[in-house]
Amino acid sequence: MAIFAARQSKGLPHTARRCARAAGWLSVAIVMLVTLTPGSAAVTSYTDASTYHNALAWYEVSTNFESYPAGTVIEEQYASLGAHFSAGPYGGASPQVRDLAGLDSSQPLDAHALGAIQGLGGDPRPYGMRVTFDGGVKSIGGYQLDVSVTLYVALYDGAGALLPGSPFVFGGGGESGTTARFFGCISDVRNIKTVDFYTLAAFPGDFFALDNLQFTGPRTEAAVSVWDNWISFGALNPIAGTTTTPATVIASGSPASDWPPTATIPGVGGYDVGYLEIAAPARLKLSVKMGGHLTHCAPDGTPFTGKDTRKPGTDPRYELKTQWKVALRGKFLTPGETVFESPTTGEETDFDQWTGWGGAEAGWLSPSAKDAWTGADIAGTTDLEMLVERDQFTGSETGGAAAICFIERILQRGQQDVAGNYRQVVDITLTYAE
Amino acid sequence: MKKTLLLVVVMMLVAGAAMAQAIGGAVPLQEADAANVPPIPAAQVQGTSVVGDPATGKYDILINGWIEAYARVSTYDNWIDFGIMSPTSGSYAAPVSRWAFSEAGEATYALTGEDGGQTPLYEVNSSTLNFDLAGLQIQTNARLDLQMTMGGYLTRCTSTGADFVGSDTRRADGYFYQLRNQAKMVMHGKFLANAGPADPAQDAEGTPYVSPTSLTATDYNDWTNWGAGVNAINNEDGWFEPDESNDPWTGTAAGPVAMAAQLPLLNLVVERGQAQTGGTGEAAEIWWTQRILRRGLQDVAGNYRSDMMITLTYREADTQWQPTVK
Repeated sequence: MAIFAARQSKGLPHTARRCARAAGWLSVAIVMLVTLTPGSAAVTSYTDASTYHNALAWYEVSTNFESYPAGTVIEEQYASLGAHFSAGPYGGASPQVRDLAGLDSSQPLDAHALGAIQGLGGDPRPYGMRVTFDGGVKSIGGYQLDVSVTLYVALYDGAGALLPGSPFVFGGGGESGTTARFFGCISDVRNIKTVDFYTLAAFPGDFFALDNLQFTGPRTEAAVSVWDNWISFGALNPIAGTTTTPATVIASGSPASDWPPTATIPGVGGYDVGYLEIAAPARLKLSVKMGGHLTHCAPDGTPFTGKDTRKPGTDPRYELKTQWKVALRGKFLTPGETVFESPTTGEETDFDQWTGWGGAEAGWLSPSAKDAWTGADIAGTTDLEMLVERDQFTGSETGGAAAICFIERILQRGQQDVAGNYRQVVDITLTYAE
Repeated sequence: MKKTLLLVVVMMLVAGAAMAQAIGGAVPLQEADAANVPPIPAAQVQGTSVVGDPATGKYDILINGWIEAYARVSTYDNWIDFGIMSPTSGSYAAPVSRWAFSEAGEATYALTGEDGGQTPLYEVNSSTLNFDLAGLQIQTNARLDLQMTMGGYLTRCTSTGADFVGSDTRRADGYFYQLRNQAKMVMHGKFLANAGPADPAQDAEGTPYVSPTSLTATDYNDWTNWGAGVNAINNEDGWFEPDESNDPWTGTAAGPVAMAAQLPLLNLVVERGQAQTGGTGEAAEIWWTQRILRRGLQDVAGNYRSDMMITLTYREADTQWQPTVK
């Protein structure tokens, strides 16, 4: 394009050359924009599931149709995921959940699959099934159980145009085997609006079956949808507790306790909590740095630089003995991708489940590995590193968004806790892990 | 030209959105987005804008609280009572120490006819129960200014405690009749030297106050002693003059008895975070006792009194931080 622009400006007055250069920019911009339009995107097909997923490197919604009994006609049951099932482009009937005993299946993956009529008696047209997505998806994949017939997968963009390479052909006629056959298509961009599945039926009226159908869901971005980032102890009683018999004070009252989202968290009651609700279509990295004990600060929240000379060290700070608990909703993983366990209760996290708070005196954790009063070494849980498992958001089959909820308490020692303002900042960072 | 620029800007925005979802890209705060299907509810947001930056994936949580400056004082004993003193004890040339002994100490220290003060509630750092003490226990979570005029020399008063206005004409300065009393003290906990309202500054460590009796620096949970040597009251160690005026016998700067360190005023800072028993900062305490150097009948008959004026005020009292509500 640069050569084209230069040639156009040759011999023109200076002002005109500037205009021509501008025209060249315009041309570049238009072409670049055009390259992002759906119709020009490339689509790649895959027959190996691992290769497909590695290439996709993105979350998918997956359904195995086990939630519905055999015979259920599938049409709008997955509308919350933005997927609508119907008969194929030549009519026929909407697909049904099929008992695999009634399928000419090579190898069932589980009890049920989605069957679509191949053709009507005497009618050779490929009826099949159609899936229409509310928004464009990037990928579509799954398993064909009846491998004896060729599966055609036709992809259309939002304008109804066939995407390049469509229909994609999987398997060959007369193939036999005992293994379900994977099929998958990935587009460069999210432009797959409609997918037709069909076979050229050797036996019209028979069904072909698809299972573990997967596609990039309607959510494209992870997000935090509900949060409360302030736990306020307000004014503390200056003479509560002693060193030998500390008074435990759990954050309660305003401003958060009456807030509906946090009030519905099991066991929260009237306590003030910090709360994040995380929509995670993809795996997210959740990093939590507890930030140590509540530390003396100035009336404007800036650090107080005075030293607590009761404690050893070159930079001891005035601190309140702080402890914390956490409850987790949904499934979280360790960085090693094993199931994350609540540090408060030891429970494994799981989809659509809250971990508990433990007993009144159980499960409290120190946000620092140093004692706030003496500076001595203690056991501390100072940070959390975990992954928010994918496919957790409103409308997902896993039961909804993930959430993490913190609560804190202070062990007060009367006037040995010095006057002033205190603050602790829990650093929480959410980034994409895939 | 305008159209061209617009297109370039659009391209940059598209590229930015793509970057945000890359590995390591920030997860932003939810926004209602009509392009998302099914519709996603807008974020519900509560808290504070003091911390975090959702645009960069930072969802920090602020925890805060406030403790009001609060101090309390227990006056365990505010009366050092010499009771009845022997009129003939000591002489000008050879003064005798009249301890402020207590009723418990009368058997050991009282001369005939002498009467002591109340026995203290408990022994204070090896004071025994034989001496009458005055003391304060201070529990405070904030620095306090402690100022105390030591009361000067015991000065003659009437039988009702009112001023006796007659002058001691033996004195060169023509001042009142006075006894030659001295004081000593012990301190528990940490006190700082007070060099003014801004020294030490609130965030400065300050200089630990040194006991004028033991000559040792005060520190948390530690007692200073009743003397620089032996930790006892009934010795010649650690006494100081509660006055900086003339010798009460001569009315001049010097008298027959050498002048000890003059300390008419204590001006201290009580360090913050000292309260109750146990822990890293037990309650601060100051205890005093006195003695009188008697010169027999040259000490004139009558009643004598000295008033130690003690004032405790807050040196610091931070207001409550009000983080910005979102």
